[in-house]
Amino acid sequence: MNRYDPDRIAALAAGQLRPDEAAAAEREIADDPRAATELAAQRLALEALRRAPAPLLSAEERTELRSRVAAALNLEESAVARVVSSRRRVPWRPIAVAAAAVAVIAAVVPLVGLLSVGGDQAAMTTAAEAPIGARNGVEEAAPDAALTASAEDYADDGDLTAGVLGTGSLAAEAADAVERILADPVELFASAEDDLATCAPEAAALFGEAAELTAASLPLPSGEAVAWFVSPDGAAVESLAVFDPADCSLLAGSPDLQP
Amino acid sequence: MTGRRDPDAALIERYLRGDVGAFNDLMRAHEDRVFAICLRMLRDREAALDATQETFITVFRKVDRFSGHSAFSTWLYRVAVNTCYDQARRRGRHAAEPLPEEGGPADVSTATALESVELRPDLEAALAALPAEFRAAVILCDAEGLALQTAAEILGVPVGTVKSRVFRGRRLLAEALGNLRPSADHLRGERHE
Repeated sequence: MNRYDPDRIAALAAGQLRPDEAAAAEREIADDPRAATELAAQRLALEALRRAPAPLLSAEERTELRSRVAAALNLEESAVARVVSSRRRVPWRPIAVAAAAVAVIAAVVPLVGLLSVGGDQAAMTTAAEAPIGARNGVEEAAPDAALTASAEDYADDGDLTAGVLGTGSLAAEAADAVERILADPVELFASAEDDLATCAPEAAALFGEAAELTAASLPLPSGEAVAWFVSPDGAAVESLAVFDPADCSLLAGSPDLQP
Repeated sequence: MTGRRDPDAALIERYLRGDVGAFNDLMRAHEDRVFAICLRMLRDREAALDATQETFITVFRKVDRFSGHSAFSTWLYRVAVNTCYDQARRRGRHAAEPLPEEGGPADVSTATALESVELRPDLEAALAALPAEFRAAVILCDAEGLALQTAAEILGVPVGTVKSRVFRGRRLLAEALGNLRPSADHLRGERHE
């Protein structure tokens, strides 16, 4: 048996082997200085990581986080609109209590008092939520504005297109890249660029104007291409198109995208 | 994929029906762990808070499209990791920074980041010096205690790749913590992929 088996050493260090397996592995590794050193290293790192306290949100951060997430969703999603609409619900119980108090203290115009308190509460609710909505509106509008500006810039530069790259080899490389990306999209997500607008019109035409598209530069051996992709869950790539940035011709894509 | 029902499935259903309580329950169940992953990935509290917020917004916006093929938490953490990669890139940080020589003192430039992270400074510096893909694997498996299969789903790579990244990440961590000599070149080059 190969004593220097990284998987076995790692599993032993992590306590993932059965007791009999662990005992056998310990004995074998003890006879192999290289494996023993490696086991010590694995245990050292694991121990340090496991002893480190888990970072926690402070109460203030937690509140702010939930507030911001709820506010952002309010602008976009019907489900969260219900979240916020419930927050906007007029607090009738305090109003009733206040009205009763008003009725006891001054039995003259209880109805006026009730309406007055209710109006104040509604105004306070609106005022409290307005900054969140306004702030979120700015945050939400900014990327769109940037994208529009970039797209316009791109349109102005449309005459600069030139067939610089070897399309044949680039297409083959793009096809290979598509396969790699679909198997492991992490690097594609990592290289996504919010302000990249190259070939945006072509991507929109291909996927439809309603598609939520993300762009990324895609380095290929023969030159750089531009990838536009759709990721409904923000984790996996559902569809993908790779364009030649020189003329925005489609080099490769998935699924079943034809140049 | 197991036959067990995802404990978050009922909350998601309630959320999609407009139940505010389900939103709060989902946040409560996952916000600390998402934040922990982001903080360990990004080493900066403000950046981690931003990434945590962005992660939840993305996930809640798209939760109606959540297929349920994997656990909700797996999907959530995958979005978190991708968000961290994206944020690190946007902030111009380099994923791979040089390791300290022979376990020498941590780079002084990391001092600010260290103060904001609840980790041992030497461990934080060592984690920060790991290539991003190793750091993610080590954080998910060893710091967060997730199973290799779950980490593989989160990172979108085969289990063997996660094993390799964890193994090599731990080795580099141990070297950086100063107790070991750097490993031989052949060790760095080993791949399980």
